[in-house]
Amino acid sequence: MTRRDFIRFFVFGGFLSLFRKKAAAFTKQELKKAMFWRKTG
Amino acid sequence: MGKKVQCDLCPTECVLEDYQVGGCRVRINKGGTLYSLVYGKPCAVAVDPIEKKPFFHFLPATTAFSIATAGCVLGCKFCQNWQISQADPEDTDNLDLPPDDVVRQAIFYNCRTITYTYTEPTVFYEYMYDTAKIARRFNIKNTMHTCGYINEKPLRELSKFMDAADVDLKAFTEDFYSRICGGRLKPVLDALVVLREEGVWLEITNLIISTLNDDIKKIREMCSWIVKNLGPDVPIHFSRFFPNYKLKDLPPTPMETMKNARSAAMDAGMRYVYLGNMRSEAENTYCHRCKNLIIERHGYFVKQNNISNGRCRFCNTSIPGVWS
Repeated sequence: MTRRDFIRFFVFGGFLSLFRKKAAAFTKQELKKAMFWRKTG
Repeated sequence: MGKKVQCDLCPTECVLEDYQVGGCRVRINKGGTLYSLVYGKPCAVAVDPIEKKPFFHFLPATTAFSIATAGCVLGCKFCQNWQISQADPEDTDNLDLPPDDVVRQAIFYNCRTITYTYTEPTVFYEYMYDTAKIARRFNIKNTMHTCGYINEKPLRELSKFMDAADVDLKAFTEDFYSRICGGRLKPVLDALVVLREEGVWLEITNLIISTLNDDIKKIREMCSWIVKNLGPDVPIHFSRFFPNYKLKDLPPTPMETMKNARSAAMDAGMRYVYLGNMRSEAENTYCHRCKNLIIERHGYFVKQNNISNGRCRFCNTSIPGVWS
């Protein structure tokens, strides 16, 4: 493996990781409605 | 139409504007509806000896599947788990563990109990409630270690599925609760009475901190209140303080103070008084009638157990607790 392949491997991995985190952040999370509260106004 | 909501879970009763998060950090008002941010997202999961909670009169020598999420209803300056209790849920490493998976894991690890602990379980009420309901169906017991800072209605509802509670009674003065914890004493005392009324097995923990809550007169007063309102059979665990979080300038509690507190509690009529965070014979259980050693412990581990069918093996006296 050349030095260029080695660096390419890590840069590509970094992009993949960032992409996964972004995708997770944009996935709509289902929040649980709380118990014991009331509307006040 | 306004979108303000008021949370009725704990005595703080936060009134929240749209998109505002409560003082507990884990409940948010979104468009006029209150949501939990930590449902099924524990940041701490472990299998512990039940003695670590501490429960000394509840299924000794068994293990508890223990969970916690971020957040707390108080802000104690001596908190031992402040890294998670005083953190936002976005800042902790959370697992994805819905209630049925908690029960499944508890069964997998052969735990007799699920314990809601480490931080304040009131903040993840919905998660705890749903998990406890499922656990009950599988004959797994539910216990919690709580500060007792919770309103009556949610506590009574939760008590239907809760088998035992260890309540941190942090001091016996409003001043301490206000200055050191950011709360009030009265709601905690009320919660203790409610738990007793609902038939939840109760143990009390009191962390003794030098100069802040180590007044023997106050400790005696607290124990007399317990005997009068909850009965003499409620075990109390006096815990030794070590410098932590925002109280790093205070020394560890002297052994002498711990022993004096134990004597004061026994003088007040309490039958089961333990000392924690230190090694001594006061981590053993002695029969309140014949005074024989009935459970010998070393730290969290039970070395011998002389309780048979809930009774002292030496004098056949019924020992208060949940033993099977």
